[in-house]
Amino acid sequence: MRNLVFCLLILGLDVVFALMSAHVVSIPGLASLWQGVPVAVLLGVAGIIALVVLNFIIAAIAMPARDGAR
Amino acid sequence: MIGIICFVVTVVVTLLITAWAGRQGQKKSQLYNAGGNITGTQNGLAISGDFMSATTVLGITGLYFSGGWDTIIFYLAPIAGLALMLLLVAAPLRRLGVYTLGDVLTHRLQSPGLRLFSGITTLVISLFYLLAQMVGAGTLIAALFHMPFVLAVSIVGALMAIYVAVGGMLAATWVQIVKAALLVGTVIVLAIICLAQSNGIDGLYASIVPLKQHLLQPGGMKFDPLSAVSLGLGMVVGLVGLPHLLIRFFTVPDERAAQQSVVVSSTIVGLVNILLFLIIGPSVLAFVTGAGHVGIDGKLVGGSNMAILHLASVLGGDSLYGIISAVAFSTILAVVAGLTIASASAAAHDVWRTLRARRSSDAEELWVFRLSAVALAAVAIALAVVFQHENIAFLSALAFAVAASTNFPVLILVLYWRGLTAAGALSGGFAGLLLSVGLIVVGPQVWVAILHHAKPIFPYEYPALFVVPVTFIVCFLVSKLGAKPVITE
Repeated sequence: MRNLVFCLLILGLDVVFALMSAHVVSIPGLASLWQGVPVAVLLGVAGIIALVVLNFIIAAIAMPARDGAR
Repeated sequence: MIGIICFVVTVVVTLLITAWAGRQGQKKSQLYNAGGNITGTQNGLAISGDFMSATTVLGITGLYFSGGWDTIIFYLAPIAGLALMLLLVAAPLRRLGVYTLGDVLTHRLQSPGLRLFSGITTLVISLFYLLAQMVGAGTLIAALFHMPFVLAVSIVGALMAIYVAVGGMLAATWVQIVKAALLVGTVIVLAIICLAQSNGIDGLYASIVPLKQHLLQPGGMKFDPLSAVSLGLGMVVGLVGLPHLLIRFFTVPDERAAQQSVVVSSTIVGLVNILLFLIIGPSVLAFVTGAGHVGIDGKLVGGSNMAILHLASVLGGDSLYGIISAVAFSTILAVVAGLTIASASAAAHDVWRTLRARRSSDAEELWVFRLSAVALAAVAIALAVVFQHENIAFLSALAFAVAASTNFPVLILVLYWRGLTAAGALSGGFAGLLLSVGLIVVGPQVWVAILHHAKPIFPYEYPALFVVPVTFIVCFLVSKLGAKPVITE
């Protein structure tokens, strides 16, 4: 069950960004700037960071591996 | 001149690594999986080096020039794929596998046919991917050193055969580690130069917004929803099915090291992708504008893959151009080494052993492994020469589509569904293989762009969204309708 939630989270994030590029999902304020950088660009960077963090979380709690030999 | 020096240094260093690796031993386990003695961090670096191909450095940066923000799919999907890999396959692969993906697939379902199928799909996927890399490498070296294309691809082919036949997995691993370190360092330095010449990140975007603001928003690549989702999902699950990445989990001593390697690689790939998406891609928009870099048709001179090289030329002249070219070359070398290892081990361990009905000795198998590496290099050189003037961008897409449609579903079902039968796995796998190749051939990338028909028969460029469910369904139905599963544990 926990693995299924993580799978949906990973694939869901990927699908949301894909749908954003196809203009199906639209977020208000994407065209505005924050500290001189477009919000859309920052959102993309946040997406990459979120997935990297998710890798750490999965390694830490979702799949505790067995130590030792194969 | 600096480019030539960097190129020569890269070749010499990688050959020294190969000679060192060759002296560490020539046993089967050493050639196939480096004796299982690679640490998690080393393997993480090697996975990054294996994955970040010419497509990442040259292709997607070039795509940013015309597609802008929408390239986020290409930067996001690999990290999502690595997360899925960590969640579903990293630890089980280490637990079950020995040398090849075929070992994993036949662990529970002892079927020679399934092992043969695994060998064939590994060869097909790797050859598609290899060809795309070889054409990219040939073009790059030919342009850099003003040498004939045939000679350029022959150099790459000879090097990849030497790495694998002499140094095996240990040499390939260290070539990939060196390349990953080189690539990360170069991307960081290039990003710093971009920011310094733009007076900071706000200065960089301030120079783009007035003219090309539309490229900093969604919509630059004009995706339709199904194509966008199919591309994104295909890249995520395709990465989990790429044989040259999967066999890297056989090189570490235990499951924890396998998981650690994915965390390390996702961090490195994430860092590189953030710098490419946030700074280097936009810098291409800001700096690559002059007549010497952009033609009157608005396209990049020398093709879209030249974007990052044009940027280097603008920012640092011939010196930076040469350094970036040499790094791109080392990137390609590391990837072709990984692909050749995956292909040669599949040819020897899965295809040859199955055809010889397991009567071959280890010594014979190792000779087949080495000969396969040389033969693959020869085939890759010949095909690269044939396809050098073709649009070969579809080959990478084809590799991902086949990996997503065949290896991913079969691997997941082998690991997580005990009801799967050998007949079910084979039927689903072949259905996925034929459908994914068939739909790409009759789709826009081949049917229209290469075969010059007016309209494609299948309207989408990326078939994964449609084929992956079919593979799962065929595996399920044939397993349910067919014989009982053969449990060998």
